[in-house]
Amino acid sequence: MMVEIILSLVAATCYGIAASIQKYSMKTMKKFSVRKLIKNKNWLLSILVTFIGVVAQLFALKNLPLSTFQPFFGITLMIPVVVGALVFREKLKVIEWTAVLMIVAGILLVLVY
Amino acid sequence: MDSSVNDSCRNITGIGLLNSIVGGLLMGISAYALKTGLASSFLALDASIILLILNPLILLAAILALAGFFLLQMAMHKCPISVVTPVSSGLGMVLPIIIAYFLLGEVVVFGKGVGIVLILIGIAVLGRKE
Repeated sequence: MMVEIILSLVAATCYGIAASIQKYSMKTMKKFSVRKLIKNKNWLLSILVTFIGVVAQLFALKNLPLSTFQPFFGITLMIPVVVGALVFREKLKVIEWTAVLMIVAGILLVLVY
Repeated sequence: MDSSVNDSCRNITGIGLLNSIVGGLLMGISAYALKTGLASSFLALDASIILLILNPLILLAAILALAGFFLLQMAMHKCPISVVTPVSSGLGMVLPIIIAYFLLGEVVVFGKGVGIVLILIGIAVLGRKE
């Protein structure tokens, strides 16, 4: 059980980190292009991190109920929000941050109940 | 960190938000198709990959997830990540619950209902700006 919980933690963290790396790889791209993405080393790294997350999730779900795994998804959600605010210095208006926090709270409620 | 190349960390653009919403919806439908595909078949998570791919619902789920994933990449290019992730995750989570409620008659408990309302209001507030 402990191993599965650690794997869930790893999976959720990997997904959150992967999304943050994807955003980082976009910052140097003026125009969106799938071809450029596929050639971007940072973006490819994010895919690798996602793949590690998928493998960890599959092994975790083998012996762990989905209802136990799901709350860990909150970590997946929080990492990009915190990275966006602190690392990328995303500047949203107060009402927009309020809306983002409402969505995060809503997701946590959906996950917990 | 150089943010001079694009200003996607400062503005919520209409197209970026739309991509987040459609991407999240596709992910949600994909999750529902995957759940139905796994439940309706004798296959389980430990079945072989080839047998899983042969299931049309799981194949549909994979195609939708891929389309949703690339829409989210486009959204990240145009919108702050602190907006894209909550919007897409929220919709991806709400949609299967709503589908299950209307099509399968599954019960939505009060706490989950409050969560769904919060998510939808939050997305509406973000969209109102445009």
